[in-house]
Amino acid sequence: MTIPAPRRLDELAALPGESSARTALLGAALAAGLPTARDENWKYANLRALDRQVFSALTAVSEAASAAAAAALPARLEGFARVVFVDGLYSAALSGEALPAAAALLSAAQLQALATAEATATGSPVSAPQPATLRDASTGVSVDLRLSQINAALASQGLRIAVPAAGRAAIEVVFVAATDAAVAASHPALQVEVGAGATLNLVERHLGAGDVATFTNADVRLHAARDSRLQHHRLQQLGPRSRHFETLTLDAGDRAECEILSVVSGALSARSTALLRLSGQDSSLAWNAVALADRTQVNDAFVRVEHLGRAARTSQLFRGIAAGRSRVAFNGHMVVREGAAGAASDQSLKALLAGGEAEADLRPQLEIYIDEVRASHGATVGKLDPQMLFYLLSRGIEPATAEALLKWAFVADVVARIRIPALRRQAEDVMAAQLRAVVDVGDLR
Amino acid sequence: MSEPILSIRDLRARVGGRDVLDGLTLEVGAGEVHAIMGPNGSGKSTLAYVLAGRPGYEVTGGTVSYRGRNLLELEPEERARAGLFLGFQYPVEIPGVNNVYLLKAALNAARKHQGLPEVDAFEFLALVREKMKLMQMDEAFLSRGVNEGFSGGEKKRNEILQMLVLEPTLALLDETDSGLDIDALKVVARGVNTLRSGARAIVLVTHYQRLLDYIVPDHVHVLARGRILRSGNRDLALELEQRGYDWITGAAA
Repeated sequence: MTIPAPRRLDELAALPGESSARTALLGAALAAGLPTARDENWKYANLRALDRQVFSALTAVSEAASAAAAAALPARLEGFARVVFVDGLYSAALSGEALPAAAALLSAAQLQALATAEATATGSPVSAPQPATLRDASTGVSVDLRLSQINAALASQGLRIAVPAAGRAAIEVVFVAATDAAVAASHPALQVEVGAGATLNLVERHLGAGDVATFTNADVRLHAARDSRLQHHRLQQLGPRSRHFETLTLDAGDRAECEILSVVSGALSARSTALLRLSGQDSSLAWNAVALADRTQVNDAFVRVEHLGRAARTSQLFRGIAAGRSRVAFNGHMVVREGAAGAASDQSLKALLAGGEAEADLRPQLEIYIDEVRASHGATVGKLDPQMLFYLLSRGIEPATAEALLKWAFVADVVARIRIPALRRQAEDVMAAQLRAVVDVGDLR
Repeated sequence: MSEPILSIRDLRARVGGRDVLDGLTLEVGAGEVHAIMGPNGSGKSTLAYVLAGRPGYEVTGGTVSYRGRNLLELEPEERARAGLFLGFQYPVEIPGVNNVYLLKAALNAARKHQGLPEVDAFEFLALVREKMKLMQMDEAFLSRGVNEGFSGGEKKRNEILQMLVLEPTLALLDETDSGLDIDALKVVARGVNTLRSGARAIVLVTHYQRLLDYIVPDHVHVLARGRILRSGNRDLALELEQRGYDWITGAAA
């Protein structure tokens, strides 16, 4: 097996002998420029990870990485087909079964061709399938999609899930990062189409294999057709030295019901960009997220929900805990366009500062262009409640346990929304470990 | 006489920059029920919090001995495990922390302190069910968050339930009667009375005499301006009911 030489973005763009599609995609992305802290929605992200970063991907996975990935896999979820990728490459052995009927692999060339076709169709140099509102005049495509473009250019392989009209599927996609960032980057790519009237129960995990300093740049594109149901659980549990970027886009058709729930506890630095559109009438989106950060972790999320269709509904729930010297940021941007009359939007953002040098940045934003809208939003950053703490101590509970309990309680209302019991227990175990709890999790359920 | 469970000598305490306890002396023997009465702002709740070790309540003088130990040296959780229980005037709501979890964790903390193994799950549930029945509480309360969405009366019952499960040596009940209707008061009083025994002591902090109709105290103390101005038996409470506090607090001025 040969490992391609590690290369940075500029080197990749200038590489002779590369496919012309890749070169064009990368060139366009680089010409427009990577996000910087000066970009409006990137103020809290740790972008140093992008500097001089190796972006080239592996074309084959080593046996050692594969073995490490195997050890990192959690127990299977009953009723779910499992598809495993290691460093962005499909692993038949770890998936343990044939691809489910609704799923198919996409080659690098296919991913590039899709991205190029989109660019051609929309007349911009390169773009993901996004509405005009995500472009700005100067650069063609919003900087928020830059890493998505780079993913399309560099991903070695991708997974496409297409649930046919009125069909049902339950699929767990596990992306394991196993290779050091000095050697290669991983570009997980997932494209999902939930057909009209179809139901998809999707679990997406990002895991680290051992304590390797990995770099991932994931891209997830979701399309929920009319009358479909998408239940999407997302767990990010990358290793403590890894850096993770991800872009998630959603387009929801008429009456589509989408629930997306994320639990993020891993990675040294993580940035999540979610650009979500409710195009259809009476479509709905529930976005629930928990972020736990400790030590020097940086966990930044930007979520834009855009109401385009009439009477669409959004609820957004975020609970973040920043301990140690960590930083948690959540920028929740709601946009209600003309034509989205009857929109309803609820936003509740809360962060807990659990460390003397921790930082939490919550930024709720409403941008509304019409009158007939119901929108509520609240954002609070606070510390552990001393009255609650004393109450627990007065019952003989150890201070460390009492603090862990209160942190647990802080995220409980989101965690309770994990609809798959086995997955909820797995998420709880991970969180208990993260909270360094001396808490018997079994009793808390 | 055997050693008292609680012995407070000349206790002085300061809260938020204000001297609230000003030389309080009190002795509570095993098997005794004491009622501490007094007007608003006299220092009753401060006394309860100082004994439980609440942060922000600074002891500036005096001593407190609990079963022969210096209570003031112990952390709040150590006091609890050593058998001191504070029934809060305003029990705090902790959504997301399960009631039954807290009960079990509290009981096991105390058992560990006594060198006992963790309580058996089935025995524990049986114990809790029995006590809940006594407190006329629905079992649904167990699976709810601690005091979450409880009415004032339900919170007070929950305090007494915790007390009954933990079986403390010294129970300090801070205005447990406030906000209770007469039926709830009787239930709470019955719960407290079941705990009366020769090995324990109970200190009731209350503003009104009414509770003492149902939990008859051995001793009644009037606390005002941070010290105990008068002590007596149950008749003192009745007299306070008739005459108010002014005749005592005024006399001491």
